[in-house]
Amino acid sequence: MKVIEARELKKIYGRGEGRVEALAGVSLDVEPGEWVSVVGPSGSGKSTLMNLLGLLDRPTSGSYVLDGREVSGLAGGDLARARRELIGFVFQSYNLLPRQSARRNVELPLVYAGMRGAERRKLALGALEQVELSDRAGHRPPELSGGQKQRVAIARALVGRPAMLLADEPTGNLDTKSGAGILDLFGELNASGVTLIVVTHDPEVAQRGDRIVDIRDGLVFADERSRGVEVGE
Amino acid sequence: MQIAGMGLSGLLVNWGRTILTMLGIVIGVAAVVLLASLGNGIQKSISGQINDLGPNLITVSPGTSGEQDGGDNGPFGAAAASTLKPEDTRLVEDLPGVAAASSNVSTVAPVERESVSFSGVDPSYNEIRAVGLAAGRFVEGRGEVVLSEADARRLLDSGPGEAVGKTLPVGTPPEDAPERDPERDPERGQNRLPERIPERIPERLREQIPERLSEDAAPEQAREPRQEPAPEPVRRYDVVGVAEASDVEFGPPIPEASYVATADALEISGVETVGQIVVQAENAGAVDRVVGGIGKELRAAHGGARDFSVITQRELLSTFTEITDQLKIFLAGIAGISLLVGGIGVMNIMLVSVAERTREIGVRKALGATNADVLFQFLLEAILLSLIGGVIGVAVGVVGAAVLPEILTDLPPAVVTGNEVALAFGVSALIGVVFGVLPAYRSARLQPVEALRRE
Ligand SMILES: Nc1ncnc2c1ncn2[C@@H]1O[C@H](COP(=O)(O)OP(=O)(O)O)[C@@H](O)[C@H]1O
Ligand SMILES: [Mg+2]
Repeated sequence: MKVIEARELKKIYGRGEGRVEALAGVSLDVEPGEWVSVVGPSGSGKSTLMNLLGLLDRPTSGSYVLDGREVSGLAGGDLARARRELIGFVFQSYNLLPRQSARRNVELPLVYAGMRGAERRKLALGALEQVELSDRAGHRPPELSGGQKQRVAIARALVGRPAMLLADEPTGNLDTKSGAGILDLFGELNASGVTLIVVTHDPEVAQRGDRIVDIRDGLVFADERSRGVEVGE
Repeated sequence: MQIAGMGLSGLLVNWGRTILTMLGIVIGVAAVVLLASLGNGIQKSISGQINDLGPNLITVSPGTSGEQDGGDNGPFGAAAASTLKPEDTRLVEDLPGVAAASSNVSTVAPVERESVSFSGVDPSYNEIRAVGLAAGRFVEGRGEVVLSEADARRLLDSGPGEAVGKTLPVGTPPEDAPERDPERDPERGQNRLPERIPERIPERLREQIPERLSEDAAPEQAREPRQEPAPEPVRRYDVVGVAEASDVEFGPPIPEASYVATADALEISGVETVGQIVVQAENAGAVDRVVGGIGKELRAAHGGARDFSVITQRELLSTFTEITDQLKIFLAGIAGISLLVGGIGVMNIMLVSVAERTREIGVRKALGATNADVLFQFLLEAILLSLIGGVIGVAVGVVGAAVLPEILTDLPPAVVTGNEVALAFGVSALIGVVFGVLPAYRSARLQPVEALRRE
């Protein structure tokens, strides 16, 4: 069974003069355990696609089967549950709650899953250990570096054991060294079976994936096996 | 449960915003509680003072109500205009439903080098107006005086305890004057003044003493021994008691005067009419009957002329209640404005904070929070804010209501009632909840990505 089966996803912003067709009909299948790199010029619709796949926004039309279930029509509690059980989302700008500690930020998805405090704490500390930030659990985001913040965000995305991890330019705000560290972390996660979809405009970063999906003007321009993996095999 | 914890920690985590928001609620609630309590206190104090006079008090004054003045407009003036006689008091006393009645005559007499105000009253006056005595007993007959505390100090240089038992030299005609002058016009004989106005009577009073001086100087009386410059006629009064300073500020005033018997006061002032008759009905139910009786009997006694007016305590009370009600409305208006200003402050901070927190709402929704989760969190924060702010506001208001009258001693003690507290609390809670939750509701309905886009 595929993790993602998206068909003819369209997203249109605005009406009349201001109408923008950000996605013009994108179809995409993702297998479990796959690492998909999404590339394309700025404004081509990469983020729009990721937001639809991450259930952060609704498509104007099209169908989206996630983990075997049609989710494009979900609303309310079902939608919230699908978000927290199936998807871990990593943003370019981290989107951590600035006044809460790293641990409490990581706990957030578990809070909404209704998990008790002690268990929540245990899982959150485990996730922080996985991203090698155990020693920063009590720090709040302003006290962390960009790379550390992104690690906290990744721990938060992972803690609920979602079906896949979506990352929209996760290294976009980081220096090369921190970015490399994050990509190494993705490599480990992918090796342990986590499905990854990572947006990047860096060709080298894109080569770390199994596949490279190139988006142009809201359409899939190319969808190829990456050379890096082919070389490795 | 987990989300409830988050509401609390949300408040703690953003304590700066929490305190600002709370401040608006605290100020609004405190203002309402304080002002309403002060208003209650003033009303209670006034009606209490009027009730202290006795709910069954009836006052008969000379003149019709338009010109009646309670017989308190000066030592001679009122008496001169009066149409009430001591016999009227006895008449009223015998009416059905009357518990007690007393004349009241105001006068001034010289005591050594001072001029002193005296209230001439019947012994029953003490029952009616409950004159507080610092020492001794009330006037029970002629030749006795109850001094005010101030007069005791001024005239005898004595405290209340020391004054009782002393005598007071009051400048009046000798007691035996009428007997020594049987041919005198009987109408004047009893009340005649000294022929010579003693030097020590102040200028003001001298002018008010009627033409008697010239009459006394008439040739036919020239042989009278008293006409020669003689030692001043002085009568010694026994000081039998000292009255406490009165704290009654409303209603027919208890004059800050010393008391003598009605007959003595009439003798001093040289008139035959009394300034006022104070009457106590047996009970509140008898008041109307007594008022009717007084009207009928006195009119008959005065040959059909209604040359007096009757005022009851209830009329007085309702007049003052009207005034204090207006005062309360005024204070309530101020309190309402404070609450409104506080509410607008809360509203502003809530609106700003929800705008700031739209991003937070987006994050929470992206992580799997339902709209209900988000709303519950904001509702809880708002309720906690309003509750804590309301409690602090009530505390500040109650403490202020207790402390302010201590500092501003003219204010009567404030009376805090549950109504105002509940109202202030309710309004602040409503403001907090409505303005905390409504904007959050709008943000929660956004798609997470839209909420995240807000900066
Ligand atoms: N909320 C929005 N309202 C209107 N237009 C938008 C909105 N979000 C994105 N767009 C437009 O949709 C197109 C695709 O945007 P986006 O998906 O962010 O591109 P990318 O992430 O590939 O740079 C752009 O032309 C952008 O201007
Ligand atoms: Mg983008």
